Amino acid sequence: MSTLAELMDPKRVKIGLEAKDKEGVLKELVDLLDLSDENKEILLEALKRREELGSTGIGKGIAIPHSRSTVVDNIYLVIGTSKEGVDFDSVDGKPVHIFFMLVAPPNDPGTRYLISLGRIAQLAKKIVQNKVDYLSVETPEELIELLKSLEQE
Amino acid sequence: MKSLSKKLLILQDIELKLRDLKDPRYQETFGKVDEERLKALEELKKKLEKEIPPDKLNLFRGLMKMHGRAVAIVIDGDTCSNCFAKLPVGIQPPGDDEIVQCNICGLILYFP
Repeated sequence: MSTLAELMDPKRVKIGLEAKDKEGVLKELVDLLDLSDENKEILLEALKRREELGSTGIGKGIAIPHSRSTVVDNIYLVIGTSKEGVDFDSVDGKPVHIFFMLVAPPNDPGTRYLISLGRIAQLAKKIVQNKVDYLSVETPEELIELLKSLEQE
Repeated sequence: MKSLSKKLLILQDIELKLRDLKDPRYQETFGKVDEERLKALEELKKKLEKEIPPDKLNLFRGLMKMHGRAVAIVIDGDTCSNCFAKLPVGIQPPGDDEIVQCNICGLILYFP
């Protein structure tokens, strides 16, 4: 895997998240994955357990919830945006407007998971530095195009 | 009450989390996790380990050491998510205090 763009799929992007709190957002993002209800529940617990260690809300309106889990067969990136913003206990105390959720299976020989997390953090920096207006985007495809071009800069 | 295979599944998730949290590449992205919170996760792991019979815990440890994972999910009711081998016909979810292993890769099976 050479870019984050390869992990982006319109099926796993939600513009306008409806949830108003942390657990609700995680659930909404997990719902975009093709998993059984019970596996979704297991994944959600793993994500919540990570949040208990400290919020993955890195500030400036961005959060990167993540976890490995046995219930996923591959590495998946799920993206969601919220115009209103969600209280995610971020480091700067501000609401989060864009979520990059990364999940991966336990066996990950190429350590794609850790590399991808690093790449998401770099992308987040670019979003902040370039003051990218991702909230005006109306479709998953447009958001992916925007993020792809930003990643290539 | 959680079944034994579910406890092992959670234990695996916690072990993987602890491993990642200590990885320098992870810390480069998210910084070091607060020691107190890390300790709380270690405590949760110990508590869970106490609920697992020693022989099963030894098996779990051996599989983690050998494969980097110990528990696989059963997909579509008859396939191991680790090696994708079809499980023997008639294989049933074990009782709450029992486990079943994949007959090909040996991983402990969790039936969702």
